[in-house]
Amino acid sequence: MNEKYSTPQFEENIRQSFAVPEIRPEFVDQVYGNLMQRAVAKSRKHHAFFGLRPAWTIALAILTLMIIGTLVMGPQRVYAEFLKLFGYISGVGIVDQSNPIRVLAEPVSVTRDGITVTVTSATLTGDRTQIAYRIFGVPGSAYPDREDVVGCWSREYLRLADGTQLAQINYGYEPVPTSVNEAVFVIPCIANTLPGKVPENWELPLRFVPAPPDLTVMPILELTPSPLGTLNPSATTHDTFIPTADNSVTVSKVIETSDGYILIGSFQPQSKPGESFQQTGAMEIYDASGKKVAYTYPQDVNEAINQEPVGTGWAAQFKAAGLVYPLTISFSGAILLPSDSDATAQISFDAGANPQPGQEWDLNREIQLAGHTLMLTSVTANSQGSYSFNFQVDPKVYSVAVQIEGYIPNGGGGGGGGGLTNGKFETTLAYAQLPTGVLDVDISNLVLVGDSVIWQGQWSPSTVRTDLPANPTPPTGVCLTADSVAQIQLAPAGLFSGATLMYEPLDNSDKWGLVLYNLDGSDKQVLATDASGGTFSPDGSQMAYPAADGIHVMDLSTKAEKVLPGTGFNMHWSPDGRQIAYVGMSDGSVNSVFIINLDGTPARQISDLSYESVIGWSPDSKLYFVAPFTGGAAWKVLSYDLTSGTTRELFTIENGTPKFLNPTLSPDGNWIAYRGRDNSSLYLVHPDGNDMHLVLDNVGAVGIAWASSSWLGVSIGIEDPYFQKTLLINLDTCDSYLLNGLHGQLEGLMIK
Amino acid sequence: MAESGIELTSEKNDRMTDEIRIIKAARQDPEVFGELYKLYVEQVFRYLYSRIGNVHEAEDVTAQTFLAAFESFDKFRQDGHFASWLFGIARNKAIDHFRRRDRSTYLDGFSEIPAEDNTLAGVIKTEQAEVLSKLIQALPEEDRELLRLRFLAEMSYPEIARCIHRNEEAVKKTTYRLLARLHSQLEVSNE
Repeated sequence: MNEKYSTPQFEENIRQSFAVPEIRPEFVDQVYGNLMQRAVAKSRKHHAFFGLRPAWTIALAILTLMIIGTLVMGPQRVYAEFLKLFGYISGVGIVDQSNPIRVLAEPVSVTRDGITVTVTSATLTGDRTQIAYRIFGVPGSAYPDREDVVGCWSREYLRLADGTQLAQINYGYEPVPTSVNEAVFVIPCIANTLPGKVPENWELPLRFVPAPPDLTVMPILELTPSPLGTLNPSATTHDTFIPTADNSVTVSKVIETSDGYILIGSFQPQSKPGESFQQTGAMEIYDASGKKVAYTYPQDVNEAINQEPVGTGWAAQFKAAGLVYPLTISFSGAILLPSDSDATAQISFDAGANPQPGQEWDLNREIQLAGHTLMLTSVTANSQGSYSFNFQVDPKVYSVAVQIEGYIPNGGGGGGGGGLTNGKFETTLAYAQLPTGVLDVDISNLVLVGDSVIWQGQWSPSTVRTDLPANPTPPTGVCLTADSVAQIQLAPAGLFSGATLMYEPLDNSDKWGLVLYNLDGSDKQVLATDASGGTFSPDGSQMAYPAADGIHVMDLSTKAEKVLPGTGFNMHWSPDGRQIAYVGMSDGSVNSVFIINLDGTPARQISDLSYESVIGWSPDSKLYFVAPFTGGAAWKVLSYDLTSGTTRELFTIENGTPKFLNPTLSPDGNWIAYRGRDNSSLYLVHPDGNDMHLVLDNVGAVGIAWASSSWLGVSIGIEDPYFQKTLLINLDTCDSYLLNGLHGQLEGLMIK
Repeated sequence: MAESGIELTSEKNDRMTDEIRIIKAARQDPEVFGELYKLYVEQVFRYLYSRIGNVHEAEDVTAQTFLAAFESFDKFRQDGHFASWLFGIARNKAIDHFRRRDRSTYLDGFSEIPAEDNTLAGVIKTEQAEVLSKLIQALPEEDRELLRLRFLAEMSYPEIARCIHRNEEAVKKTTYRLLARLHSQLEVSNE
């Protein structure tokens, strides 16, 4: 069995998706105290706790040595020696250096039946073996085409010469003994492929060598507690500030990188008894000059974040050139206050004998609870045996608890939000069997929104680095950085004429949709509600977008629509406007590229790889697309020649994001723009793989659309990912302009 | 290089503690049960919060779970399956909680805990987690329970199997299938 999809990152995202708050230390201590009282009462006898395992023995031995060392040498020196055990390797993470680090002598590839498995790197440390491998060429038809069918699952492992198998552990495999320099990496089968579809039992012989001298292992500096300074409220842009002279925001580890720092710490707001809190914004970092520090989340320190002893771990990687210390790290939120816990209200509604998923009961019942007025607007039955209760409340109300009398839910959630989400929230209760008939609903536990609070901490290095320039200059080819993007001016009136297609929240609605604007933000027209992934035809007269019933093509002057057969997304028009390439799924192919003629003739599939994205059509009748490697954040760029019907593998994008690459070809077919590994930067590369370079550095790039071969439109969310700005950038000159009033995700761009 | 500024020194929790030896020691000395509590309190809270959706009530049921486990510890004999036993208690307590749902009744000594839910939801919540959250919400309750036990309670497959009285292979297969499905749906969502 293989837990291929259960990567540490994926597991962490599953944990995060449950949105479980950190347990409160006060609660932990309180229960512990209660337990100990009972334990003492149970038996006054005290027994020594012995019989420890070797791991504990070693830990205690280290502790003992540290204590003795502290007495002899002084605490700082001892601590420094202890920390030398750990180091940071970029892309690998924090590693144990107690044994000499070894690496893979050279990448190893095996190709069978058109599928190539490559072990690209290995890092062997005292505590684990990290193996990076990736697979390319698995046809989509090798995977199950139904969710209830499961393909092969077997766990990869390392096999030593004596037959020993080293299994997967957290963040790698069991460590390879220092005396062993060869092993075989065994992949019993490619994850989730169907029996007999692709070769199985892959074996890749690996050879390990001492890490080269140029392998950079950065020291990890672990900090000791110190009190926070009280900060001036005016240093922030928030309207309310309550100084928090506590340790709500802490930094526990610092790693010097080549161009800045990685900080690792925890966030644990301190609240008064009876109060709790809701975070309302992302972490922000400002330097002492008031400049916002752009940071990225370094995924290779996930393990360290998870080991933060208190609160919620956080990490930030940033460039340090030109920063003025101290840095202020801020989390914003609101205090939540319980109201009268005895206050309850009750309403009833008739769900009928056979409530159906999707059925909604408009109630609009006014409820008085603990001195506040709530409106239960509706109840909805969901497909998974649950009811959602939808409330409108005054801005001070955060949440209420709901239950249906006589029925025991087996799950549920939601709740909070009033005042933090425009006075609306919903609470869901799930049941093994949906309650029916007239239902009595109890409403209680009103919670109110209190003051807004900013929790802050400060950090500065004790020694100013001399290896960084005081005034950073962007690398050659970079047009915008996180700093310079804030200086961009609005496009002068009349400079551009044309239209944009935005995916954005619709006014007076909970829905999002496709909206057409002139480039100056005027003449707003909502084209499609609950739709995304729209794209202009080459002449700008039509828009195509995916929907459940097919591919919709809208005439933008008349708004008349026709629906082409086929379901998919990621639409790209051919230069002559007669065809649309898209990513679809049919007959066992998992998200492969299709082409459909606008005359409605059946779509044809032109690739059989999985999870592909269309890049675009070149003027010389080539369709470019990418397919991801299985494992490893890399994408292979391919071209399909429409004349000959042949496909060529071109090159590999190694620095793209694995999440939403959004590759887009310029109209002249000369450049591919795509999002970088940090989910924030934008790169350009020629379709032959040459001249790959950074253009927008950590600006929160999301939507990408070419207006011409020189002008590129990008929606950026560096300041607010939910309220993006739209920029036009001339890639020849780096002239950049902000487009007025366009705050969604850019999906289409036309300059006349 | 010494650093100035804020921080807390990490005292890493050693997760390699030999549970069986602690259990045996706890039989000799009830105060050692506190070590088991420290080992599991976070997982139990996470699990219960994910079912109950309210910090106050999840803390209440977490406390009830450990007090019940402490009081009945003398009867616990399956040394290798403490997690299954403990989470079995937690599951029963959660069911009891939903059955009674009497919020005015809290354990003595726990009256000052904050009453709120969803605190800190969204801290460093990734883009992928947002999408996953919606996908998981749409799963049947049985599947969500498997994810809770695996990723919030951090139980092994044998422990989960024992806890929910199912075959270990079936638990594994179901979980892998779930992960594959989520992964696949996530890929589609990211396009």
